[in-house]
Amino acid sequence: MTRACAAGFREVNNLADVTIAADQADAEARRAEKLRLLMRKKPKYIAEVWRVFWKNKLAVVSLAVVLFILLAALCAPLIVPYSEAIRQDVLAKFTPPGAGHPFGTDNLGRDVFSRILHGGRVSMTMGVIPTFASLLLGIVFGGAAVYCGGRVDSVVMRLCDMLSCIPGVLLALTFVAALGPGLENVLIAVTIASVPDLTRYVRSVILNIVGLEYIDAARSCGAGGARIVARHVIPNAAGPLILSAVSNIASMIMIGAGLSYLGLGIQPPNPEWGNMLAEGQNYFTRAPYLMFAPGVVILVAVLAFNLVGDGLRDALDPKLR
Amino acid sequence: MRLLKKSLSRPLCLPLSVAFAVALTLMLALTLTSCTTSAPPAGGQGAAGDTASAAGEQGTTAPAGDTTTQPASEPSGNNHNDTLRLSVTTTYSGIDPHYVAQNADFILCSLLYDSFYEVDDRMNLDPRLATGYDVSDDGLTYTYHLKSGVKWQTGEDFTAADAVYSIRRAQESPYMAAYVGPIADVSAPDDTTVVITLSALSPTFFADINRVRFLGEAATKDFETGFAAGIPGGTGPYTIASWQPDQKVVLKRNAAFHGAPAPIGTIELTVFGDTNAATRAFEAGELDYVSVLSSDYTRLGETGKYKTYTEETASVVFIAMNNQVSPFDNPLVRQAVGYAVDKNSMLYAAADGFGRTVSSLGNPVLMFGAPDAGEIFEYQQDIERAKQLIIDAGYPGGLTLTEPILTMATDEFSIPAQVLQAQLAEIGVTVEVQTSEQSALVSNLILGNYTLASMALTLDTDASALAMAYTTGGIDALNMARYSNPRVDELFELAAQTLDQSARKAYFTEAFDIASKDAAYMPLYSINVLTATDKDLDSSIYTTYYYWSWN
Repeated sequence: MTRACAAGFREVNNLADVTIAADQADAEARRAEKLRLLMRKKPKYIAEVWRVFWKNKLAVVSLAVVLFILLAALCAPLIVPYSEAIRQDVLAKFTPPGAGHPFGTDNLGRDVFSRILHGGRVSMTMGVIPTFASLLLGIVFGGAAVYCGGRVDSVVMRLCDMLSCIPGVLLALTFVAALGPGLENVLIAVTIASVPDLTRYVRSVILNIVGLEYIDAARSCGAGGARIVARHVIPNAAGPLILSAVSNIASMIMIGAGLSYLGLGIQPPNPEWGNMLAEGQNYFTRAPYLMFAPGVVILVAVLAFNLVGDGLRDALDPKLR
Repeated sequence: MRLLKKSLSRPLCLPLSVAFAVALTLMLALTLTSCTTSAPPAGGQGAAGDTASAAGEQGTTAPAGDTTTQPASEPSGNNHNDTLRLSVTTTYSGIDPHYVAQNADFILCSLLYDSFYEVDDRMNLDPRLATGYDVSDDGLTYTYHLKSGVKWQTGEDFTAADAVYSIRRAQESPYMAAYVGPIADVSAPDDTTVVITLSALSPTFFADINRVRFLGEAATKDFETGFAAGIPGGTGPYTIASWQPDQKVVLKRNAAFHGAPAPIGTIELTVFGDTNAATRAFEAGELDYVSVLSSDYTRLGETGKYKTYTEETASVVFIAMNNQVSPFDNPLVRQAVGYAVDKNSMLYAAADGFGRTVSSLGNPVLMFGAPDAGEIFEYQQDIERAKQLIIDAGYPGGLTLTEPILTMATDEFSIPAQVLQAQLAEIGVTVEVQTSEQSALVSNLILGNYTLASMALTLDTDASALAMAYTTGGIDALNMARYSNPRVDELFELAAQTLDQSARKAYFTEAFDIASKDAAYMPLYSINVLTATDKDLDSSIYTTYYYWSWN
């Protein structure tokens, strides 16, 4: 009996040893798998974002439209000389769209197609430059508010609150009225009017990032402020800020067009989509294409930028990747 | 800054290709509806009384003083509820007749208050509160004989004392200075006689004095100047029934009017800030009369549903050059501008040819003394001569102006400025265009804070009114060109000192000839009013609404 029990116990011990060995093997295998996963080469962030963006066909088409508009604006002087956009032929005024004038002629006989092309340069300038200028200023002010904190943060935020009480278009209008009409003054006015909102947005983005645990971890490891900003804050803030910038371009184009429509932006005879819309308004019953041409390009440009922004937002959302 | 951001969180429901196809089809359809060609008129009216302009091909051109209308296909048999619905483009500033400056306010006051006579654009006198007047041999004393039995709306009798009160009140107003300036004394020897003594001869006084409209002393002496509706009113053919100066003013026939009752019982004046909006309201049947743009004039006439006609106005569009600043202090440069300009193409560009090219700031059809075509020196476009003048002026390599052409954003002013810019470019003069708000532009012109500008002027029916625009005394006022020529000053003074119209005409002609050769201004053209009305309405801009009627 004892010999049998002893044999049984030996058997159990052998089974236990086998089980323990199996468990240890499993654990080893899992550790190895984890190590393998950690050590594998991850796809780059940009490639990952692009992969998600590419899935959104509407955004891709919109991006193509945006690139087309920017290319057309850039190459406008190569397609049609600027002199064609302002050359008058009074006897040929209100020529409907046709051969020689794809978009017709306006009230002074100027080719509308040429004016749309060259007006696009101005409109894109009014969209892009104030966007990135105000973003840069927003980063400076927002970043300073977060970095300094305390009273500096309060003062900056209260100033932004004050300016945000005034509708942006009115604020831009005020600055243009004070500075005078013209492209440069419009760029300055729209930039200044955009800074308060962007400062608040940048501040909120940075605050979200610096509140994360890995920032604390980096700080506890001895990383200095500059290293934290360079290695952690900027890379993680870039996505939302780029998204904000792309979305704001559309708004800037609309505001610039609105100021030109009111006669405060680009001065005649220089073409800009907004002032072309205003000029065409008086002749709506006689030559509706004078309104449709600039109106449609504004619509398409603004829509395209907005859709690209939405596509980027989805692509940058980690939950969707 | 996301005021207009539209967040599309989902892709379009329609397949993309279908959506774009629908959008493109819609755009194409709308564009094709505009595929019409417009026959260009041959140019503006060039000579007095010339009605054979090609503008007649598009609509009905009325020679000055005449309205030619399209015949109605059948009488409407509708008195339109004895109501006339009109649009105005500016809000009313008030109804104090001695403190208004806008044309719309003048018209309103002419319906509410009377003067000795009602004066039309041709200086014809229609008696109102006066039955006649006498002028002394020396031309310095005017004696007016008043109607008797005229009552104010408050019931008191209108007497000569009220006229004296009104004239003295007008003398205190800066808005009336041009009309009552020559008056040295005014008195009322009895209830129906007013005696006015002038300090100097005034050939236009017989018309100017009628700008002074009469107020009842008892009713208004305690009111502040510049009052709005609320005072008891005047003796005119209408009274105010409703007063919303920035929206709508309604006038009712004055049952106690001393003259023939107004043919139309109610007048509704609705403020439309935009001519296009007013035209759309007219086509929707909300208005009976509207001034339209040239682009709508032909179209409305071709429908056959409306009466359309065009009438000349005293409004003259011109280019102002600051004679006191470089480079326009050099007469050669100013003359070069004159030879660079093609007035007919500007008129066609701005108004489809509905107007008349002019050689002074007055329309010769509506202003006595304004030179007619051929009476004085006039610039004709000569590009080569203009280029040579620029070289002779000391700019062999061309001229780039540092200051822009100042103008307003409306097409009436912006188009001449843009055409001028293009025409100056042909002679080697480079300049930008800058639009500004009206009051700022006028202020800059009056103070001389400009180099080149496009503007319009609407002045009275006698060339003596242009003295302030051409003489040294008008600098910092109406002499926007800041032009000064002693002989021109002398000629306007001589014209003011005689009642001999032939002599006055000769003085004016010489003065304008000198100013034209000096290229003080560059007058371009006078603007026509293009009007569309209900087919049953009998109207004219040369008369007030009191004279209008429904057929």
